Amino acid sequence: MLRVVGWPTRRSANDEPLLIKSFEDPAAFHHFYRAYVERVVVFFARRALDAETALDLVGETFALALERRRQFRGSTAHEEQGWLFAIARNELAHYWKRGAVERAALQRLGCDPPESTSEDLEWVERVADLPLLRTTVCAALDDLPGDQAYAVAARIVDERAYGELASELDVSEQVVRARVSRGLRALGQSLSDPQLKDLT
Amino acid sequence: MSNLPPGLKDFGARLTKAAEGEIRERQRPPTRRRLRSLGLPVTAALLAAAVSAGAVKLVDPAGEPIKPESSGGEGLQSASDPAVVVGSAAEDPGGGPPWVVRAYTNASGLECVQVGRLRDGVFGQVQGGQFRAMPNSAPGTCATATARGPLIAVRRVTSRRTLVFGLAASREPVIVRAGDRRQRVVPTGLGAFVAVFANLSPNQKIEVRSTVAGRTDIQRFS
Repeated sequence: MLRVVGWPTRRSANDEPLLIKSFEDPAAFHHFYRAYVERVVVFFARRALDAETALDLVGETFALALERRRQFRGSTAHEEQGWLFAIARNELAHYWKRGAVERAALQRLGCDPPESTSEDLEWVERVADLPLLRTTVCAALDDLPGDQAYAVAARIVDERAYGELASELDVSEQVVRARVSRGLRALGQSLSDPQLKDLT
Repeated sequence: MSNLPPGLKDFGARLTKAAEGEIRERQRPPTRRRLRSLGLPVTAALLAAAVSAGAVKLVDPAGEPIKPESSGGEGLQSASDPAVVVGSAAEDPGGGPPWVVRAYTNASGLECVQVGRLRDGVFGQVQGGQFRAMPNSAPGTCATATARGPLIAVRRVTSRRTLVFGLAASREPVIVRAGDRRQRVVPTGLGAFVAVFANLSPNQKIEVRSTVAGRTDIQRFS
Protein backbone atom coordinates (compact mmCIF):
# COMPACT_ATOMS: atom_id res chain seq x y z
CA MET A 1 0.00 0.00 0.00
CA LEU A 2 1.30 3.45 -0.87
CA ARG A 3 1.93 6.03 1.76
CA VAL A 4 -0.77 8.67 1.81
CA VAL A 5 0.72 12.11 1.53
CA GLY A 6 -2.54 13.84 2.37
CA TRP A 7 -4.25 16.71 0.65
CA PRO A 8 -4.02 20.13 2.15
CA THR A 9 -7.55 21.49 2.32
CA ARG A 10 -7.59 24.85 0.65
CA ARG A 11 -11.16 25.47 -0.28
CA SER A 12 -14.51 24.43 1.17
CA ALA A 13 -16.74 22.56 -1.22
CA ASN A 14 -19.38 25.29 -1.17
CA ASP A 15 -17.05 28.26 -1.59
CA GLU A 16 -17.81 30.55 -4.47
CA PRO A 17 -15.83 29.42 -7.54
CA LEU A 18 -12.68 31.41 -8.13
CA LEU A 19 -13.12 30.73 -11.84
CA ILE A 20 -16.22 32.92 -11.96
CA LYS A 21 -14.46 35.72 -10.12
CA SER A 22 -11.60 35.38 -12.59
CA PHE A 23 -13.88 36.38 -15.48
CA GLU A 24 -13.17 39.98 -14.51
CA ASP A 25 -10.39 39.72 -11.96
CA PRO A 26 -7.00 38.29 -13.00
CA ALA A 27 -5.94 37.98 -9.36
CA ALA A 28 -8.75 35.45 -8.88
CA PHE A 29 -7.23 33.28 -11.56
CA HIS A 30 -3.94 33.46 -9.68
CA HIS A 31 -5.74 32.27 -6.53
CA PHE A 32 -7.38 29.50 -8.56
CA TYR A 33 -3.97 28.39 -9.83
CA ARG A 34 -2.45 28.46 -6.36
CA ALA A 35 -5.41 26.59 -4.89
CA TYR A 36 -5.18 23.65 -7.28
CA VAL A 37 -1.75 23.51 -8.87
CA GLU A 38 -0.24 21.15 -6.32
CA ARG A 39 -3.09 18.66 -6.66
CA VAL A 40 -2.90 18.81 -10.43
CA VAL A 41 0.87 18.27 -10.30
CA VAL A 42 0.39 15.21 -8.10
CA PHE A 43 -2.43 13.94 -10.33
CA PHE A 44 -0.17 13.96 -13.37
CA ALA A 45 3.07 12.94 -11.68
CA ARG A 46 1.54 9.82 -10.14
CA ARG A 47 0.15 8.76 -13.49
CA ALA A 48 2.98 9.70 -15.82
CA LEU A 49 5.60 8.79 -13.18
CA ASP A 50 7.75 11.54 -14.61
CA ALA A 51 8.15 14.98 -13.07
CA GLU A 52 8.99 16.81 -16.29
CA THR A 53 6.03 15.37 -18.17
CA ALA A 54 3.82 16.24 -15.22
CA LEU A 55 4.92 19.88 -15.37
CA ASP A 56 4.22 20.06 -19.10
CA LEU A 57 0.75 18.58 -18.58
CA VAL A 58 0.10 21.02 -15.75
CA GLY A 59 1.01 23.89 -18.06
CA GLU A 60 -1.40 22.90 -20.81
CA THR A 61 -4.16 22.09 -18.31
CA PHE A 62 -4.08 25.51 -16.67
CA ALA A 63 -3.72 27.23 -20.03
CA LEU A 64 -6.91 25.46 -21.15
CA ALA A 65 -8.61 26.34 -17.86
CA LEU A 66 -7.76 30.00 -18.43
CA GLU A 67 -8.87 29.91 -22.03
CA ARG A 68 -12.15 28.07 -21.36
CA ARG A 69 -13.06 29.44 -17.94
CA ARG A 70 -16.05 31.34 -19.31
CA GLN A 71 -17.55 28.00 -20.28
CA PHE A 72 -17.65 26.94 -16.61
CA ARG A 73 -21.27 26.75 -15.46
CA GLY A 74 -20.86 25.53 -11.87
CA SER A 75 -21.58 27.46 -8.71
CA THR A 76 -19.36 25.83 -6.09
CA ALA A 77 -15.67 25.18 -5.51
CA HIS A 78 -16.46 21.47 -5.68
CA GLU A 79 -17.81 21.83 -9.22
CA GLU A 80 -14.89 24.05 -10.12
CA GLN A 81 -12.48 21.36 -9.01
CA GLY A 82 -14.38 18.72 -10.99
CA TRP A 83 -14.25 20.93 -14.07
CA LEU A 84 -10.49 21.42 -13.75
CA PHE A 85 -9.80 17.73 -13.27
CA ALA A 86 -11.99 16.87 -16.23
CA ILE A 87 -9.58 18.95 -18.32
CA ALA A 88 -6.64 17.25 -16.61
CA ARG A 89 -8.02 13.76 -17.32
CA ASN A 90 -8.61 14.69 -20.91
CA GLU A 91 -5.05 15.99 -21.29
CA LEU A 92 -3.72 12.81 -19.74
CA ALA A 93 -5.76 10.70 -22.16
CA HIS A 94 -4.32 12.72 -25.06
CA TYR A 95 -0.86 12.18 -23.65
CA TRP A 96 -1.30 8.41 -23.46
CA LYS A 97 -2.74 8.32 -26.93
CA ARG A 98 -0.13 10.49 -28.63
CA GLY A 99 2.87 9.93 -26.42
CA ALA A 100 3.44 13.68 -26.35
CA VAL A 101 2.07 16.61 -24.38
CA GLU A 102 -0.18 19.06 -26.22
CA ARG A 103 0.93 22.69 -26.12
CA ALA A 104 -1.75 24.24 -28.29
CA ALA A 105 -3.44 26.29 -25.55
CA LEU A 106 -0.09 27.49 -24.24
CA GLN A 107 0.86 28.58 -27.73
CA ARG A 108 -2.43 30.41 -28.22
CA LEU A 109 -1.78 32.26 -24.96
CA GLY A 110 1.81 32.95 -25.97
CA CYS A 111 2.90 31.32 -22.73
CA ASP A 112 5.74 28.86 -22.14
CA PRO A 113 5.10 25.79 -19.96
CA PRO A 114 6.48 25.76 -16.41
CA GLU A 115 10.23 25.64 -16.43
CA SER A 116 11.60 22.32 -15.20
CA THR A 117 14.24 23.65 -12.83
CA SER A 118 15.96 21.06 -10.65
CA GLU A 119 14.12 22.58 -7.70
CA ASP A 120 10.80 22.08 -9.48
CA LEU A 121 11.59 18.50 -10.43
CA GLU A 122 12.66 17.66 -6.89
CA TRP A 123 9.51 19.30 -5.53
CA VAL A 124 7.30 17.26 -7.85
CA GLU A 125 9.10 14.05 -6.88
CA ARG A 126 8.56 14.91 -3.23
CA VAL A 127 4.92 16.03 -3.25
CA ALA A 128 3.91 13.12 -5.48
CA ASP A 129 6.04 10.68 -3.51
CA LEU A 130 7.38 9.34 -6.79
CA PRO A 131 10.39 7.31 -5.52
CA LEU A 132 8.16 5.12 -3.39
CA LEU A 133 5.54 4.90 -6.11
CA ARG A 134 8.14 3.80 -8.66
CA THR A 135 9.34 1.05 -6.33
CA THR A 136 5.79 -0.12 -5.79
CA VAL A 137 5.05 0.02 -9.49
CA CYS A 138 8.13 -2.05 -10.30
CA ALA A 139 6.93 -4.72 -7.88
CA ALA A 140 3.42 -4.60 -9.35
CA LEU A 141 4.81 -4.96 -12.87
CA ASP A 142 5.49 -8.61 -12.13
CA ASP A 143 1.76 -9.24 -11.94
CA LEU A 144 1.03 -7.85 -15.41
CA PRO A 145 0.86 -9.98 -18.58
CA GLY A 146 4.33 -10.16 -20.10
CA ASP A 147 3.65 -7.99 -23.17
CA GLN A 148 2.11 -5.19 -21.10
CA ALA A 149 4.82 -5.34 -18.45
CA TYR A 150 7.52 -5.10 -21.09
CA ALA A 151 5.80 -2.20 -22.87
CA VAL A 152 5.25 -0.27 -19.63
CA ALA A 153 8.80 -0.83 -18.42
CA ALA A 154 10.35 0.06 -21.76
CA ARG A 155 8.24 3.15 -22.28
CA ILE A 156 7.83 4.53 -18.76
CA VAL A 157 10.94 3.34 -16.95
CA ASP A 158 13.43 3.33 -19.84
CA GLU A 159 11.62 6.18 -21.68
CA ARG A 160 12.01 4.53 -25.08
CA ALA A 161 10.09 5.94 -28.03
CA TYR A 162 6.87 4.26 -29.18
CA GLY A 163 8.22 3.99 -32.73
CA GLU A 164 11.36 2.26 -31.58
CA LEU A 165 9.38 -0.23 -29.50
CA ALA A 166 7.00 -0.88 -32.38
CA SER A 167 9.94 -1.77 -34.64
CA GLU A 168 11.52 -3.99 -32.04
CA LEU A 169 8.30 -5.88 -31.29
CA ASP A 170 7.19 -5.91 -34.94
CA VAL A 171 3.79 -4.40 -34.14
CA SER A 172 2.24 -1.02 -34.84
CA GLU A 173 2.80 2.00 -32.60
CA GLN A 174 -0.89 1.86 -31.81
CA VAL A 175 -0.47 -1.63 -30.38
CA VAL A 176 2.44 -0.50 -28.20
CA ARG A 177 0.45 2.47 -26.97
CA ALA A 178 -2.49 0.20 -26.17
CA ARG A 179 -0.25 -2.17 -24.21
CA VAL A 180 1.25 0.70 -22.23
CA SER A 181 -2.15 2.21 -21.60
CA ARG A 182 -3.73 -1.10 -20.53
CA GLY A 183 -0.72 -1.92 -18.41
CA LEU A 184 -0.81 1.40 -16.60
CA ARG A 185 -4.54 1.11 -16.04
CA ALA A 186 -4.10 -2.34 -14.57
CA LEU A 187 -1.26 -1.08 -12.41
CA GLY A 188 -3.37 1.80 -11.17
CA GLN A 189 -6.13 -0.60 -10.19
CA SER A 190 -3.84 -3.06 -8.52
CA LEU A 191 -2.05 -0.36 -6.55
CA SER A 192 -5.29 0.77 -4.88
CA ASP A 193 -3.77 4.18 -4.41
CA PRO A 194 -6.20 6.30 -2.38
CA GLN A 195 -4.80 9.46 -3.94
CA LEU A 196 -5.36 8.18 -7.43
CA LYS A 197 -8.91 7.22 -6.53
CA ASP A 198 -9.48 10.57 -4.92
CA LEU A 199 -8.76 12.37 -8.12
CA THR A 200 -10.27 10.17 -10.78
CA MET B 1 -0.47 25.20 0.85
CA SER B 2 3.21 24.55 0.35
CA ASN B 3 5.51 27.06 -1.28
CA LEU B 4 5.74 26.48 -4.98
CA PRO B 5 9.13 25.97 -6.64
CA PRO B 6 10.37 28.76 -8.94
CA GLY B 7 9.23 27.28 -12.28
CA LEU B 8 5.64 26.80 -11.13
CA LYS B 9 5.63 30.16 -9.37
CA ASP B 10 6.76 31.93 -12.55
CA PHE B 11 4.24 30.01 -14.61
CA GLY B 12 1.44 31.16 -12.29
CA ALA B 13 2.59 34.76 -12.76
CA ARG B 14 2.61 34.33 -16.55
CA LEU B 15 -0.91 32.91 -16.50
CA THR B 16 -2.10 35.82 -14.40
CA LYS B 17 -0.57 38.21 -16.89
CA ALA B 18 -2.30 36.36 -19.72
CA ALA B 19 -5.59 36.61 -17.79
CA GLU B 20 -5.03 40.36 -17.38
CA GLY B 21 -4.44 40.72 -21.11
CA GLU B 22 -7.53 38.69 -21.99
CA ILE B 23 -9.76 40.69 -19.64
CA ARG B 24 -8.36 43.98 -20.93
CA GLU B 25 -8.97 42.84 -24.50
CA ARG B 26 -12.57 41.89 -23.76
CA GLN B 27 -13.24 45.20 -22.05
CA ARG B 28 -12.14 47.11 -25.13
CA PRO B 29 -14.82 48.15 -27.57
CA PRO B 30 -14.99 45.86 -30.60
CA THR B 31 -12.17 46.33 -33.10
CA ARG B 32 -14.43 48.18 -35.50
CA ARG B 33 -15.17 50.96 -33.06
CA ARG B 34 -11.58 51.13 -31.87
CA LEU B 35 -10.35 51.56 -35.40
CA ARG B 36 -12.98 54.13 -36.21
CA SER B 37 -12.26 56.16 -33.12
CA LEU B 38 -8.61 56.18 -34.08
CA GLY B 39 -9.45 56.90 -37.66
CA LEU B 40 -11.40 60.09 -37.06
CA PRO B 41 -8.49 62.09 -35.65
CA VAL B 42 -6.36 60.68 -38.43
CA THR B 43 -8.84 61.94 -40.98
CA ALA B 44 -8.90 65.32 -39.29
CA ALA B 45 -5.12 65.43 -39.40
CA LEU B 46 -5.11 64.55 -43.08
CA LEU B 47 -7.68 67.22 -43.83
CA ALA B 48 -5.66 69.76 -41.88
CA ALA B 49 -2.56 68.75 -43.82
CA ALA B 50 -4.47 69.07 -47.07
CA VAL B 51 -5.62 72.54 -46.20
CA SER B 52 -2.18 73.67 -45.12
CA ALA B 53 -0.45 72.16 -48.11
CA GLY B 54 -2.98 73.63 -50.43
CA ALA B 55 -2.85 70.97 -53.10
CA VAL B 56 -2.52 67.71 -51.24
CA LYS B 57 -4.86 65.10 -52.67
CA LEU B 58 -6.50 62.69 -50.25
CA VAL B 59 -6.21 59.34 -51.89
CA ASP B 60 -8.65 56.71 -50.83
CA PRO B 61 -7.80 54.00 -49.77
CA ALA B 62 -4.27 54.97 -48.84
CA GLY B 63 -5.56 56.37 -45.58
CA GLU B 64 -3.48 56.25 -42.50
CA PRO B 65 -1.97 53.03 -41.22
CA ILE B 66 -2.76 51.99 -37.71
CA LYS B 67 -0.01 50.13 -35.99
CA PRO B 68 -1.18 46.78 -34.64
CA GLU B 69 -0.60 46.09 -30.93
CA SER B 70 1.57 43.14 -31.83
CA SER B 71 2.83 42.25 -35.22
CA GLY B 72 3.78 38.69 -34.24
CA GLY B 73 5.00 36.79 -37.27
CA GLU B 74 8.22 35.53 -35.75
CA GLY B 75 10.62 34.50 -38.44
CA LEU B 76 9.21 36.96 -40.95
CA GLN B 77 10.81 40.21 -41.87
CA SER B 78 8.98 43.20 -40.53
CA ALA B 79 7.08 45.19 -43.13
CA SER B 80 8.21 48.61 -44.25
CA ASP B 81 4.53 49.64 -44.21
CA PRO B 82 3.32 49.72 -40.59
CA ALA B 83 -0.26 49.02 -41.70
CA VAL B 84 0.76 45.52 -42.75
CA VAL B 85 -0.08 43.04 -39.99
CA VAL B 86 2.90 40.73 -40.29
CA GLY B 87 1.48 38.35 -37.70
CA SER B 88 -1.42 37.54 -40.03
CA ALA B 89 0.96 35.82 -42.47
CA ALA B 90 -0.41 32.64 -44.03
CA GLU B 91 1.53 30.36 -46.33
CA ASP B 92 0.48 29.86 -49.89
CA PRO B 93 -0.01 26.16 -50.73
CA GLY B 94 2.19 26.68 -53.78
CA GLY B 95 4.97 28.35 -51.81
CA GLY B 96 6.32 31.84 -52.38
CA PRO B 97 5.82 34.91 -50.23
CA PRO B 98 3.19 34.55 -47.50
CA TRP B 99 -0.19 36.28 -47.68
CA VAL B 100 -0.73 39.10 -45.20
CA VAL B 101 -3.42 41.62 -44.34
CA ARG B 102 -2.95 45.36 -44.57
CA ALA B 103 -5.33 47.27 -42.27
CA TYR B 104 -5.87 50.99 -42.45
CA THR B 105 -8.51 53.65 -42.07
CA ASN B 106 -9.57 55.45 -45.19
CA ALA B 107 -10.08 59.17 -45.50
CA SER B 108 -13.63 58.74 -44.20
CA GLY B 109 -12.36 57.14 -41.04
CA LEU B 110 -13.62 53.69 -41.96
CA GLU B 111 -11.51 50.63 -41.42
CA CYS B 112 -10.38 48.85 -44.55
CA VAL B 113 -8.40 45.76 -45.41
CA GLN B 114 -6.31 44.64 -48.32
CA VAL B 115 -4.64 41.31 -48.84
CA GLY B 116 -1.30 40.88 -50.50
CA ARG B 117 1.99 39.08 -50.20
CA LEU B 118 4.98 40.07 -48.14
CA ARG B 119 8.46 39.81 -49.59
CA ASP B 120 11.53 41.44 -48.08
CA GLY B 121 9.26 43.62 -45.99
CA VAL B 122 7.35 44.89 -49.04
CA PHE B 123 3.58 44.42 -49.34
CA GLY B 124 2.77 43.45 -52.89
CA GLN B 125 1.40 40.93 -55.32
CA VAL B 126 2.76 38.31 -57.67
CA GLN B 127 1.75 38.85 -61.28
CA GLY B 128 3.11 36.79 -64.13
CA GLY B 129 5.69 35.31 -61.81
CA GLN B 130 6.95 38.76 -60.83
CA PHE B 131 6.57 40.33 -57.41
CA ARG B 132 5.37 43.92 -57.53
CA ALA B 133 4.78 46.33 -54.68
CA MET B 134 1.09 47.07 -54.14
CA PRO B 135 0.35 50.75 -54.73
CA ASN B 136 -1.53 52.60 -52.01
CA SER B 137 -4.25 53.31 -54.54
CA ALA B 138 -5.03 49.59 -54.88
CA PRO B 139 -8.63 48.91 -53.89
CA GLY B 140 -9.42 47.63 -50.43
CA THR B 141 -12.54 46.36 -48.72
CA CYS B 142 -13.92 48.89 -46.28
CA ALA B 143 -16.52 48.70 -43.56
CA THR B 144 -19.64 50.76 -43.79
CA ALA B 145 -20.22 53.50 -41.25
CA THR B 146 -22.96 51.53 -39.50
CA ALA B 147 -21.34 48.10 -39.68
CA ARG B 148 -20.55 46.27 -36.48
CA GLY B 149 -18.71 43.04 -35.85
CA PRO B 150 -15.98 41.62 -38.01
CA LEU B 151 -14.87 42.99 -41.37
CA ILE B 152 -14.53 40.00 -43.69
CA ALA B 153 -13.77 39.84 -47.39
CA VAL B 154 -13.41 37.03 -49.90
CA ARG B 155 -11.14 37.53 -52.88
CA ARG B 156 -10.45 35.15 -55.70
CA VAL B 157 -7.00 36.28 -56.75
CA THR B 158 -6.43 33.67 -59.44
CA SER B 159 -8.44 30.76 -60.72
CA ARG B 160 -6.61 28.62 -58.18
CA ARG B 161 -6.50 30.81 -55.09
CA THR B 162 -9.32 32.08 -52.97
CA LEU B 163 -8.51 34.21 -49.95
CA VAL B 164 -10.78 34.82 -47.00
CA PHE B 165 -9.41 37.62 -44.89
CA GLY B 166 -10.30 40.50 -42.66
CA LEU B 167 -10.39 41.81 -39.14
CA ALA B 168 -12.12 39.71 -36.51
CA ALA B 169 -13.71 41.42 -33.54
CA SER B 170 -11.84 39.20 -31.08
CA ARG B 171 -8.84 36.92 -30.90
CA GLU B 172 -10.99 33.80 -30.74
CA PRO B 173 -10.24 31.46 -33.66
CA VAL B 174 -12.05 32.14 -36.92
CA ILE B 175 -13.47 29.08 -38.66
CA VAL B 176 -13.72 29.27 -42.44
CA ARG B 177 -15.64 26.56 -44.27
CA ALA B 178 -15.72 26.08 -48.01
CA GLY B 179 -17.78 22.99 -48.76
CA ASP B 180 -16.14 20.11 -46.93
CA ARG B 181 -12.94 22.07 -46.40
CA ARG B 182 -12.39 23.86 -43.15
CA GLN B 183 -9.67 26.15 -41.85
CA ARG B 184 -9.20 27.45 -38.34
CA VAL B 185 -7.27 30.69 -38.18
CA VAL B 186 -6.24 32.51 -35.04
CA PRO B 187 -6.51 36.28 -35.53
CA THR B 188 -3.50 38.34 -34.64
CA GLY B 189 -2.84 42.09 -34.24
CA LEU B 190 -6.04 44.12 -34.82
CA GLY B 191 -7.86 40.80 -35.29
CA ALA B 192 -6.30 40.34 -38.75
CA PHE B 193 -6.48 36.91 -40.35
CA VAL B 194 -6.10 35.26 -43.76
CA ALA B 195 -7.23 31.81 -44.85
CA VAL B 196 -5.87 30.60 -48.17
CA PHE B 197 -7.79 28.02 -50.21
CA ALA B 198 -6.48 26.32 -53.34
CA ASN B 199 -8.62 25.22 -56.28
CA LEU B 200 -12.04 26.13 -54.96
CA SER B 201 -14.89 25.93 -57.39
CA PRO B 202 -15.91 29.44 -58.55
CA ASN B 203 -19.41 28.86 -57.17
CA GLN B 204 -18.24 27.49 -53.84
CA LYS B 205 -20.15 28.97 -50.92
CA ILE B 206 -18.02 30.11 -48.01
CA GLU B 207 -19.03 30.42 -44.39
CA VAL B 208 -17.02 32.37 -41.83
CA ARG B 209 -17.62 31.95 -38.12
CA SER B 210 -16.01 34.34 -35.68
CA THR B 211 -16.67 35.56 -32.16
CA VAL B 212 -18.16 38.94 -31.38
CA ALA B 213 -18.60 39.86 -27.72
CA GLY B 214 -18.61 36.18 -26.75
CA ARG B 215 -21.15 35.16 -29.38
CA THR B 216 -20.66 33.38 -32.66
CA ASP B 217 -21.08 35.56 -35.72
CA ILE B 218 -21.69 33.76 -39.00
CA GLN B 219 -21.19 35.37 -42.39
CA ARG B 220 -21.83 33.58 -45.65
CA PHE B 221 -20.40 34.39 -49.05
CA SER B 222 -21.39 32.89 -52.37
